[in-house]
Amino acid sequence: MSEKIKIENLTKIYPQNGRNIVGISDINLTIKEGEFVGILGHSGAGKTTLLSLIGGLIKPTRGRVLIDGIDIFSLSDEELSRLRNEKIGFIFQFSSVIPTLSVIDNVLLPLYFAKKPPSDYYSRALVLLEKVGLEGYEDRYAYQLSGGEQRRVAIARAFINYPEIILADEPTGDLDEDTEREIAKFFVEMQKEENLTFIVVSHNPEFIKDLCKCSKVYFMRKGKIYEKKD
Amino acid sequence: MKRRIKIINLVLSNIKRKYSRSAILIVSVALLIFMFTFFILILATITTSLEKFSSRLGADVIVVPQGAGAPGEEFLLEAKVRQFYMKKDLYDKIREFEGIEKITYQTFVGVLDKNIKVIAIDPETDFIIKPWVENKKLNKGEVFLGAEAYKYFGNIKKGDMIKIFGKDFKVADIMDKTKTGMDYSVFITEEDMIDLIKENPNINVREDQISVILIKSSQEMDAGVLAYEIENGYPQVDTIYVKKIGEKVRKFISNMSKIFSVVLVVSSVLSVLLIANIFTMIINERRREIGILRALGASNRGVMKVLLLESVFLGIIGSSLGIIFGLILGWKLLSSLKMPFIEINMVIVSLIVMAGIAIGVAISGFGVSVSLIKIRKIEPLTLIKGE
Repeated sequence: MSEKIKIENLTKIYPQNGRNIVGISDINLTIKEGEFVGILGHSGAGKTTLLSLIGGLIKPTRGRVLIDGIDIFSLSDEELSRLRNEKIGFIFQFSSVIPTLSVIDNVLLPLYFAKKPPSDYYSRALVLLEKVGLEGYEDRYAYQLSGGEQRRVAIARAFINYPEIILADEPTGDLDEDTEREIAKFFVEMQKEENLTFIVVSHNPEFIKDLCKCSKVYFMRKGKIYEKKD
Repeated sequence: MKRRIKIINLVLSNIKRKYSRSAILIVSVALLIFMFTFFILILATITTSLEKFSSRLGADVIVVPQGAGAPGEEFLLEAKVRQFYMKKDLYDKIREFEGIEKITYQTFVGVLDKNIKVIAIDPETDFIIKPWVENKKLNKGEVFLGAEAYKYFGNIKKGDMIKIFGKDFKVADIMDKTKTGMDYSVFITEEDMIDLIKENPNINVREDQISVILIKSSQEMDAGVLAYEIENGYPQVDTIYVKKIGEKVRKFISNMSKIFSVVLVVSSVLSVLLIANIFTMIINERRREIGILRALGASNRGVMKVLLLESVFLGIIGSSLGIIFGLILGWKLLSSLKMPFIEINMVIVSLIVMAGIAIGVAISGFGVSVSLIKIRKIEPLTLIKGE
């Protein structure tokens, strides 16, 4: 398996009211293609910061993130946006749908920025919606859905563009146990079927270990990352 | 399976979501473009109509009795009934001036109902009426009817007989529309005028009187100089230099243009500020959404495109409304002036429509760009967190 993501000396410091808050500090990590990585940690440990840096959503104070050997922070805004659009699917820890768009339009939204015709992806969108338990919901408006349903729309959206990497930040945070199990099953299935490099962040060890069956599990604490062997 | 274009859905959904703010944006653009359309339509229409009027009239110098300059202009421009006379022998004297290519005279005979004027012409020297009729020669016992005056006589046509001051006349021709006072006039020969004077005691004009002398200067002679020389040579007359007709109106328009330019600039600045402020509010409320779009692969330019499309959409609606109301009210005002020479020029209207939409779109686009500059440098995660 080739190196998909390589993180070198990654540090993020947030200046806040004249003080420096360390988000993450000197992280080195290599994630291989098709690996299912779980990151555990309490809130404030730096999980979201790490995930956002891998996705290029924030710039590091120091260090590099290489995806397929390319330092993503050496790219221009256009190039980095294209990389995010083509290679990465994001799942956020909150509802991230556009409420006034229909469910199907929300799922197809990344394709607009990819300049790909949505019609080619329509059937994939329907399959993804079915897999996340939203069959028949495609023409409803997102604001008509419950919080959990909106989360599932956002999950389906992350996979629409055949991404190579999925970055999931507390993807089942406010979902019930049954839905959490279904989503984990969906993640496992998609990861295997499409050989995705999957990074899922959660505070819930059961979700990471038992449900997602991550091949590698890390633990974050005070901005540092440790591999969990047990 | 077909899918609609999502960007439009996204743009429309955003506009619908902030319905009242979208309405304020539309109204502010509409007001600005209304002012632009309204003023430009009036200013440009009057200016171009006055220029056209000069060429339609055929003469470039008009001689009237002393003190009749202003009423003469009113007669020509507004088709008002104005009665003034001078001795006919002045015509014989003035025709001797050098630099005259064509010269003729007309006499105001009287007025019929609905302000239709009866004017006597000299068919031998006339060059004013001729270009507007097919049957070039007016004979005794015949009339040429102005394009509006013929309506006064009902459903008549060439060859029909009509009565003027109790005398029968044959309609020799109905003139094409001139957009001058001629449209509201009936033209008879000088011989018929003399007969009418004899038969009708109510007609005030005398046989040896005329109202105006109309001159077309030769190419070598400057019409302004000719007008000046005639006025200097004969103190009992005034001259109207046709190119200068409507001088008061022109001055008024020039002053209006200055005021209008200031008003337009101030309104544009205010509109940009208003639009920028509203968009700043909208964008601040939509930080998370913009952050999500960035995470989904939208570049700064991509986000800008979505928001610019929104503003352009609102700008087009606002401009269209402003243009429609500006054209309607501008046209109503121009019509209410009751000046026959005023003619709406479709080229001007087309230019106003294009410029109005361009200005509306540019101002709303500029407004949104100003507010977008502020969030361009914010990292997507910060936007997503709504900070």
